[in-house]
Amino acid sequence: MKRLMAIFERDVTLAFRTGGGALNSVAFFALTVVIFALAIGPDRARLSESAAPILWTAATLAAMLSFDRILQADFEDGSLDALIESGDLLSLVALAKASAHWVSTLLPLILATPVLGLLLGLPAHAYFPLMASMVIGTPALSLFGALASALALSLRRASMLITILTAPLLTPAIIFGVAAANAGARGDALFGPALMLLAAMTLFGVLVTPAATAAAIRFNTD
Amino acid sequence: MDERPADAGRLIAARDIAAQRGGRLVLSGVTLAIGPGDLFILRGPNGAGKTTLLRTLAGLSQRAAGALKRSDNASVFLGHADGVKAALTARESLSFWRMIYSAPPAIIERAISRLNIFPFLDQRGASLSAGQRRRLALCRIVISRRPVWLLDEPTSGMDAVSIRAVVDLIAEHCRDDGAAVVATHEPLDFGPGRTIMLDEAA
Repeated sequence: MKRLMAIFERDVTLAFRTGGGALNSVAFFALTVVIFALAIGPDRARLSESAAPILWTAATLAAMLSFDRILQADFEDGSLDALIESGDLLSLVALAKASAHWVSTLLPLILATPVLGLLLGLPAHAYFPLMASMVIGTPALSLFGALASALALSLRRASMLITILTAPLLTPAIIFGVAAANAGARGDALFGPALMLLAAMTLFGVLVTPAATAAAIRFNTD
Repeated sequence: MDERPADAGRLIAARDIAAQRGGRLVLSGVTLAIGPGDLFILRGPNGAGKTTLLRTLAGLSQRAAGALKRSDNASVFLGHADGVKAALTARESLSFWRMIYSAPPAIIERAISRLNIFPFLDQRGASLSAGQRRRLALCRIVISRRPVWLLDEPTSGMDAVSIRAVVDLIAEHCRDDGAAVVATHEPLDFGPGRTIMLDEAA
């Protein structure tokens, strides 16, 4: 457990250091939202009803572009070999790295969401459901992203491939996430069930992806 | 995993193993028993499979044939890549590896003094030279406290003084009932030790 914490802490530290890229993801997220807003135009009503889908889509895109950071650097500089032979279960190492990715990349996006929601004219009562759907649903992004980055490990500059690999896995998160955010904003009874589906996706990710990620790492470091 | 009497007391025992690199067979029929005090120097031309053999002994690569018996946490592997993070200082890297290997704090002091890390302890990896990074990478091997060191060109990029220090460190580790398999092109003088010649891929 102490070792997994050490891996988690190191990954979070590296993400916020020079070249770590955690803050670039926030910038990319904000930029995408602004581009969407400009493309939709000054119609406040349309903007505010598009706010949840725009924020969920932009967050997912920003996450996709950051997935290759989860394992690629460790693979290239040899530290992944050392983590493999450190003695911990490799699937737990993968879980620690996915968690670090969520904290360093997706949590900052979620924290930036209220500011961007303001820009899009998101109604006050819609903030809580949107944020709740992101907090519950985005861990699945990091988990499936770790798996995709492990699959593409031996290919260099694979972020486009990783994006293509993860898109079908992550669209359910967007669909249920936006459904939950919208239902919550309307005061609809579907809010609860939609959040449950999101939670199910994250829990499925926790159960299944670490072992699959570990297998993919072993295959690609062989 | 069958227990053979000849392998008793061995940390790693490889019997007639073959290994592939990128789908091509580069090694075959290698038998090697590594026990406390053993030092093997691995030599051979580029492409002979030195790295592949070390990775296979480390359990990082799957063997294509043969039997490999390893006791738990028997070995630690240093490949061509140093595993030194550009954004972390030497001190941060060392304490990370200490956590990973659950080593006592005193082991860091020992690694720092043996590999002369002190002059650049608070510099980030990005500002270190190739030889300095290599020395820092070797600290991980010391910190691991694993018995068998599997080292791939451990002295690459180092000056003469550092090379001497590394050779002494490896020799001392083997005298203290450790073991090492060192792949190198350098004419390193370890004193006693067996040389394994690997031929061009058969």
